[in-house]
Amino acid sequence: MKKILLGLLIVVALSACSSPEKKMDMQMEVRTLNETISTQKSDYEMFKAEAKELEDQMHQLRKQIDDARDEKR
Amino acid sequence: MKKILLGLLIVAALSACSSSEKNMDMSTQIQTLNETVEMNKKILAEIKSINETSREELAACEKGAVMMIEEMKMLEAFQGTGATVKTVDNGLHLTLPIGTSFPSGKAMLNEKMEMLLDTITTSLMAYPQTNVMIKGNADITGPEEFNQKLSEERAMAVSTYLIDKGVDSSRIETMGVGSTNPINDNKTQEGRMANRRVDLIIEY
Repeated sequence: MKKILLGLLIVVALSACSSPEKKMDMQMEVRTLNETISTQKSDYEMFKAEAKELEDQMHQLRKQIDDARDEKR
Repeated sequence: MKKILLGLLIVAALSACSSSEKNMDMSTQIQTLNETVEMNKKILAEIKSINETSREELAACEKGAVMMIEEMKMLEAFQGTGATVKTVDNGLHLTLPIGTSFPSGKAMLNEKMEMLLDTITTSLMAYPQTNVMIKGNADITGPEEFNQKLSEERAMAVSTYLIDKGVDSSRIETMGVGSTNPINDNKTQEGRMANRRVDLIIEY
């Protein structure tokens, strides 16, 4: 009986030991994912700014075309 | 001894259980984060594609605007020559005024025609990317074979004048259309005078 209990103890203890390693890996993965999301947010802001700039350029161009037409008239 | 081992076993088992629960929480967190990353990827790809399309549209618009402005400037410049100017595909069609008409049966340029061609030369020099097609015309008087030749000579006379004034010959093409393209009534003297003409097509 003693031997069985000792065996079980070793198995359970080893299982408890392996968990911190797994936890470390998971924490690392969470950190990596959070970093990816942070980069994605920056990219989003950059694309948004670019979209705004393109819209402004288009607006300016349309205005120039209208002005040229008015001048012609 | 047995009791001590049993106690240790319970403690170790509980510790393993609690770690397992924490790992479960973290797995859910990782899954959520992965889903967020995937969703963000889609959104970013969409915005990138929209921006790409906008950039292409803007470039096309810019090109169109530049062409339009150039066309308007050119139209204005050639309108100043006294010729009737019409916009045609990829160019302008200039019909020279009646005062510049050729004498009947001849391909000689009169003074008014030369003055007008001088102004046209100035505009052509200002737009070196343009090419000119000169179409000679004749009225209906006489045989068509003669009229065809006469119309070619009229186109050639204008071409020679433009070349003499400095327009590069590689920019000029000539053709005669005989009496096939009248702009006025060949039954009247005034109509026939109007038909003894050249048309210029400025291509850009």
